[in-house]
Amino acid sequence: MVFERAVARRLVNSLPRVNSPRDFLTGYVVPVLGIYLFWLYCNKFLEMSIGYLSTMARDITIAGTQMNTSYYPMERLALIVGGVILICFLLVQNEMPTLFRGLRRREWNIISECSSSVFAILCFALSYFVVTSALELTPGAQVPFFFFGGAIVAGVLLLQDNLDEILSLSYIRSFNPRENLGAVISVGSIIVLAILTLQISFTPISQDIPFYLSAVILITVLYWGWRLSQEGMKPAVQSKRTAALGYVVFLPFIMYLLLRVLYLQHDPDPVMQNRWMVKFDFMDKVNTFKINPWPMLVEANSDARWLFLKAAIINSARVTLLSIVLCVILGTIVGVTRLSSNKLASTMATVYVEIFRNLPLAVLLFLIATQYGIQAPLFIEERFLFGGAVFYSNQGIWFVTVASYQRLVMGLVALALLRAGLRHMDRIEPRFIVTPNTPFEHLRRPFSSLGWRLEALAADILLIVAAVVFIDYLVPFVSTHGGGTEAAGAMALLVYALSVTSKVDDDGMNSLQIDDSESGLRKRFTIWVAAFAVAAGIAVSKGLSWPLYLKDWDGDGTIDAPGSWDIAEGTGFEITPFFLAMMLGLTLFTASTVAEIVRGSIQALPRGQVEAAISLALNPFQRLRLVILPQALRSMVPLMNNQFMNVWKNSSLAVIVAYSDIFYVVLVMMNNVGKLIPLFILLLITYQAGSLAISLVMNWYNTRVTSVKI
Amino acid sequence: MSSMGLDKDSFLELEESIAGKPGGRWVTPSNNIQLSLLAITLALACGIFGGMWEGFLPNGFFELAAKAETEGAGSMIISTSFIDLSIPQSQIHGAISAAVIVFAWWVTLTALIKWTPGKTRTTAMLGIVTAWIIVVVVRGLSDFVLVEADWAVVWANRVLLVVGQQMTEQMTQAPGSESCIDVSNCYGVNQNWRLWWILYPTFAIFAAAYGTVAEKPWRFLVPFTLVIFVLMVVSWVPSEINFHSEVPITNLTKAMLLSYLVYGASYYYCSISEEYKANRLRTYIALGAVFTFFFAIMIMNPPEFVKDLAILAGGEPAQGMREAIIAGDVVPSTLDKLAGDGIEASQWGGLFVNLIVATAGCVLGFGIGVILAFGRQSDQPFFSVPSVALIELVRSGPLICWLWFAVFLMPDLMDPFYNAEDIMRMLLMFGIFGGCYIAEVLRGGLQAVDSGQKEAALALGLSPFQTKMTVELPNAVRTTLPSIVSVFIGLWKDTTLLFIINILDFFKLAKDLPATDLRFLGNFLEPLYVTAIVFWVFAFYLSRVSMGIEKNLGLVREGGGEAA
Repeated sequence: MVFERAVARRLVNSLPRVNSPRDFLTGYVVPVLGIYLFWLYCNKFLEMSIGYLSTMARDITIAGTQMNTSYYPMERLALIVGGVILICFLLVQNEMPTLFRGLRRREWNIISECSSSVFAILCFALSYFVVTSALELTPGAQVPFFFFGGAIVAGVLLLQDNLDEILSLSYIRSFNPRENLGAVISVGSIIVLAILTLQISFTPISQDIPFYLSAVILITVLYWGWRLSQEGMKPAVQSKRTAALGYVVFLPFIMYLLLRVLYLQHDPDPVMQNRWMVKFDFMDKVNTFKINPWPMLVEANSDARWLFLKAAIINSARVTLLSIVLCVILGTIVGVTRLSSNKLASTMATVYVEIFRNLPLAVLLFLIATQYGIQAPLFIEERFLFGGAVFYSNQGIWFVTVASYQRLVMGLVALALLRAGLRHMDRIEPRFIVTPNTPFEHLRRPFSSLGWRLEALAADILLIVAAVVFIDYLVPFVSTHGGGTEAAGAMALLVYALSVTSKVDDDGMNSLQIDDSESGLRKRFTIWVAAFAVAAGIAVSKGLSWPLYLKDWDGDGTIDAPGSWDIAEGTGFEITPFFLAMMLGLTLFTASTVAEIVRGSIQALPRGQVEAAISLALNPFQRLRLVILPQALRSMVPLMNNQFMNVWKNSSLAVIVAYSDIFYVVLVMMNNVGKLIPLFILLLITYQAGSLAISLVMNWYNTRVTSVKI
Repeated sequence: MSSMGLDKDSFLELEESIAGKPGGRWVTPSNNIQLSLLAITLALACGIFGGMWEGFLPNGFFELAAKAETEGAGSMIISTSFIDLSIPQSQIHGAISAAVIVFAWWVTLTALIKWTPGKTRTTAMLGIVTAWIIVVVVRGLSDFVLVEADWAVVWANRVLLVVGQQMTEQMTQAPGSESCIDVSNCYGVNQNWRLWWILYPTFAIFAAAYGTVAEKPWRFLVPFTLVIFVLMVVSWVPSEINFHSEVPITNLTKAMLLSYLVYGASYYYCSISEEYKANRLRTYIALGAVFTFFFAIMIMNPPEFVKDLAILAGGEPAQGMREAIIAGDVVPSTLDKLAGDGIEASQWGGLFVNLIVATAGCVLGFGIGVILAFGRQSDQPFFSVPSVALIELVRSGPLICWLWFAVFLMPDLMDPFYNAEDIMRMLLMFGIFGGCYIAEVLRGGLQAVDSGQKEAALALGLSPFQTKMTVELPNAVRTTLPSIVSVFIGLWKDTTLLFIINILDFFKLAKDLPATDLRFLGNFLEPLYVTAIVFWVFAFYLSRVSMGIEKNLGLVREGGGEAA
């Protein structure tokens, strides 16, 4: 009697104490509600998962053909489902890094240290063999029970956390069942699973597998939730068991997601199967709708979908690149104006930033597109600016351009050569000459044998040559359907040239002494003005290409109907209204954020730096170059990286202005062929690749800018 | 004389900051102010009578007003029972344009007369260029707003834009609705009481939150009253009205009085209590905001158990009594209305949808963001690997990609256990998307928490969960609150993307107004500008809140730096 009363008192004392209504809520109502909801969740998800698994394991072969469209051969099912359970086990157990490290160093005793992970891998291999070759499990009851039961047993083993102990030989010798209940539970659960799987049709479990499995999960979760709340374990063990408990709690959901995706890929409904099957052969077929890309032209109904995707990527890339360049320029101007002493200008810059930062980009794009469409003159109104140099209409803007782009590139090369030459003249002997030692360093500094004077010049000239080669191979890549491998080779050469120049810089071979005095600046200024004039002369040496407005197409002297008037192909440089709207919207929107970044970076400079620069009698240009920009760029570059990635992702809004970018093209393809998942995967991969490329470039620039420790 | 001197000096200072310092040798301190007066007079002359030298000077006031008149500018007519004004809009346009032209002339002439480019070239150039840019922009804007545009298209459809198609019909054509004007044309059972039930707790939470900020009461009460007043005016002005205006007016008045009460109570409580009690009140208000959000969703389309409870309590589903209600025999009680059908999520529309989706993004996003942030920095790979994978996956694609996923692919995954409507999936997707961005923001904040804090919590015996909730999270949120608010602003602006999936939000309804409202075919630009302004106002308000929070929390850094 006393014993029972003591037990009862102990039980009552271990219940949560109720001191206030809030305690009643948290102590009783919330747990009961939680348990009820958890039971519903377990039941529902296990029911659905088991249903899918049974359907997928059923092999209904009549006369040699598979009648069950959802059928998966047992090898694949066991591999995928078992593999996921194994991966979860290994993640919770968290021994894989040590195992790999030990194996790499050929420390074979690591296997006994990580015995539970090795045991799990062996169990997986064994059950895979058993299920595929040795036994034939019934799809209705045995297959789901084995897989799900196995997952639960894995969870129990993780929670017990004594697998290492059990598997060590010394333990097996001194085993005492009564003293170590934990080991009994661990080994017993495996044995019970094996026995029940084989004999399941003789037990009531096969009638309602979800119910029994949910009960097991619920009991496990309740017991271990209570144990973990007691916090009687070491913190490392506590966090591992919490992860294991998380695994058991999320098991129904993980299984449901996995099995649902597998089921959808072999769905009886052909529309669903079409959607979810990951196969890309439809991309080799012809595309059936028109887009307006530039410079690569693709024909509807004759070019493959891969080519349309390439054209769309080129479209997105060019609007992104141009917007990035323009928004940096505009953003810097506005940001710097915000800091000027002219109250009017700084107020106007603030107004610009506040207006455009808070406007949604979608509304802005639509507004620009509609406004331009309404306000621009009609094509037949023949509105020219600057005496025929610019023709603008609601169907596009045509500029005068150079007739030969090679001459333009030659002009730019002349300017680059001038810059290299000027830097060569400014160069002085560096204080320390770093010579390369290892072969890798020799590769990065191929011109080190030329001496300090000529090495940097050679590196600069290599960069110019690589840039010209890159442009030479990039143009056919973006204008024609092929040219990918050559362009990749040229890009590799350009990357190599960039690494050579940065290595020369990093090794200190590039010490320049720039004449910052007023007369020196004036001299430099005149040289550059002359150089620009010469380069402009070279660029237009083959003439200009004026937009030619043709009204008479067949050359018979009579003016054709107004609907057929057009600008002749190949004359002038066309900007479509879609591109214009997209570029204007992206630039105006992003420039406001860039202005804020620039202003913040410059304002974050300690005030003393600028005052010291002024007191040292540095002129404004020197102040900017030597004091303000190096420090401001350090904080600006990571933030700009974010903004550039935003520009790339915001270019997906081109669907609003009917500009053929990646999202628009993929969206129409999805509507046409219905293969949603493959196209969605392509979409994500493309955007991620673009973001990665931008990140790479900005991180490289970041390391250049932060190479000096402040 | 000294006060005159003060005014003169401050005016000269203003002039110098705009047009630059005087550089000509003929400028002495004594004739400085006289030269300014000369510049002002010349500027007024050029501005008002400018048209006299055609082709050389821009048009002055009279020319502009006449041009606007010929282009058919309307008149702003404000007619109430005691004022009857009719101000021709052309005159207003002329006045505004002439004012900016006078200003620009003043800047230019001051710079020329005093020869400021001689001394401060950049300031003078910047001043002149900016002044003329302002002239172009303001003239173009006022021309568009006052002369060319016909704002009636937006004014006539203001209810539609705010609540969407279904609720506008019920507001204007439902029996049992005090606002249904034409009884013979009423149909359906009015459900708009649900909106008012959402509005009261929202205003109350809003006022209570402002009450905890220790500022002078009038700094909140005056702007708040102004905003409610504007709302009342918008719903009351008799032109183009198709509902009984007493209903919104009474309900808005009730909301206003409730807010005053709650503000007063919260302000008084915070002024007499300790800091920790005020913080506890703030936590309760935040929880109240979350609760209001879920309450809003529940009340719009009540789940079955709520309807069953109402029937148990004695109500009778309102749609069962439709004919009786239309005939005017029965007025449904509150319980009857609760027991009846709600408004399905697919019927929501207008600004309401934008607000609900943005709030969901913020509320759900913050919850998901906290979970993901802690998961990412956990030392258990089972938590960190999926968190990192989910964050990087969601951040790799633009939002429009994920919204499209939510409409077409998520139903395949979700339908077996939750057959949700489009808007519900949008809410979830916005929550996940916002959550991943907030997780990134919080990651930086969590890393910046002093490790001494965590060690002290460990020494005090706090469990890991308690440490995270009471020590790490408040510190991290405090440091990163401005970035979190900027994510919220981004989510609000991104609700405009809902139109791509054919959800009838404010932007889509405004965009399609010229095509759907046959009275106003072809007025494409006016609804778009109104959309831009409405979204801008909310985003601007949120950014001001963020700046206020920054200042309150002492996070503003003072620095110098003046660029060349």
